[in-house]
Amino acid sequence: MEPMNCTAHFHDGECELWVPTQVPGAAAESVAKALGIPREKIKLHITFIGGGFGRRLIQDYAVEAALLSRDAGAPVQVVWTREDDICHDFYRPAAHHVFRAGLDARGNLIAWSHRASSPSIETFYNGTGVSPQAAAQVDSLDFPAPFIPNFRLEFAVAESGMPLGYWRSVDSSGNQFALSSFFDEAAHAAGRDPMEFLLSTLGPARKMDLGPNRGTLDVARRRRVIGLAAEKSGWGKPLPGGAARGIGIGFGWGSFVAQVAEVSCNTSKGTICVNRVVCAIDCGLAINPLGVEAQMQSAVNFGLAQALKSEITVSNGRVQQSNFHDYEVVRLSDAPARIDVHIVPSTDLPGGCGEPGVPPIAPAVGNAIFAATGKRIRRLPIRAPDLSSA
Amino acid sequence: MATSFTLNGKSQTVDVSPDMPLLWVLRDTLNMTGTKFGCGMALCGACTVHISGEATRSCITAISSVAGKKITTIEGLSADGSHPVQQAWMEEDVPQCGYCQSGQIMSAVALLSKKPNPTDTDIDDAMSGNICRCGTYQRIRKAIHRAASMQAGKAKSAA
Repeated sequence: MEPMNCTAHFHDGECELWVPTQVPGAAAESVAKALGIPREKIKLHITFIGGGFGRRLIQDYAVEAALLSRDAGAPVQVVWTREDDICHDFYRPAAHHVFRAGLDARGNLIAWSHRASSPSIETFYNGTGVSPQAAAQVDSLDFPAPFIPNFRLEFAVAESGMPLGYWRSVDSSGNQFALSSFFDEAAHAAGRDPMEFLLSTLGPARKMDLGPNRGTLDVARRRRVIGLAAEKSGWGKPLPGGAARGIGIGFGWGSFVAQVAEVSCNTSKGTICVNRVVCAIDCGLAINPLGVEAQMQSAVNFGLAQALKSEITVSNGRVQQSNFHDYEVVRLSDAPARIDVHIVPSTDLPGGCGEPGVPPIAPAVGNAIFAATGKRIRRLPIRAPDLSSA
Repeated sequence: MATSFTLNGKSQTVDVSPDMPLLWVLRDTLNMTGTKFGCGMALCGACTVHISGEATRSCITAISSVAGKKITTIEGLSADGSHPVQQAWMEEDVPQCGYCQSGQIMSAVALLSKKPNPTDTDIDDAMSGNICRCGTYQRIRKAIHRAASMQAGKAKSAA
């Protein structure tokens, strides 16, 4: 919630900065370059950050304060308004995905085609000369690639003119919504339970060699975390009042996450209530389990914003939203009453916990909505017309 | 223009423009930086203080409107973090980045002063004006219930 801000004092060919930044080295280098002074002449005080989530990876606000201090000949504190922030952000790229899948006679997934397009963060920062692999906002190892015999992934960079940035979990946030939702569609098309279909597609516990420089994929860790989410959510047992469950997965940053969302829908009002989320994580050795729990709860509440609330629209080159009345985020009354976090006991190398909890929640909610209502969610944020009987 | 009020139990007088928001009087004139700026439109709750015991968004409260009133900020809840809500917040490990938490605590204290044993719906209603982007909501809820129990326990033992 802390607005973008930086305090800078340029004097005698040196610059002192008080700056909430996720990347102190990059802050110092950017400011040194902008002022045309050596890196050694930058003195940086890293203040506590009132939330970063990827925005404070980009050092524009530090450079701005430094240049203003130089021109003013005095220390300067620059604090952005919320309007400055929302209207002039570095936005998560919009994306469009098209899928086709093939099932064999027994309802097993045997073919998968994924065509995606979005603006590229990599080309925005590093120019159009980067390799296609670098520019692409997908990864050829994305699920379910290693587990089925026929897989095709295509990506095209889209032009949008929007400034781009690294919203917590970056391309995984939108990609996992698309992937896990379509995977759920395939399960239902096969007439199979989504949890059973997922575990069946993964196949038995084993280590898969992915080829040169691609490492080894440990299927057991995926099966275990999914099984834990199933067990702790009571998957398969009926829920009262027409509520239903959906599953979402996310693997990345060295960790494995499976989430089950319990959702109640009112299709005539077009409202959704996420009653409870069960989050299972294998992050290797959990050094601070209470901290892991906090990060998973954080990620679920954060990820629910993209599912239920937040949207940026542009008209005549101008962002139309400006503050929290029209750029809505998750409030306490929107948050699930319970987010139960279960950590797989492990002595494997510690994996990340800040981001992997974000991608699974939007598809878990979308898949639960389908289970409850038969309505398939194919865009975010979810709006009342997506739910209403029509 | 001089405006006088009581701040955390002490008399204060400031000489500022009458339409200066209380938030900036607190932060810039009085160096009380516990109260935070988040939106400037009373949409996020980071600026929440108490005026005559009522949770109020200081970012849209003109200093002239608080003349003669009793204001409490986060700094005024206790000298040492011993307020039951602060204690509950620590015991439940609520804060992540911490930026919104002054406002959250002030809203929670005001809620408990009116509803010492709040239901979850009471908590929704009282606390939904305070945004937390880090998503500490589940622990906030637990901490409010915990503080309610702590205060009830104290009331019992005092009776």
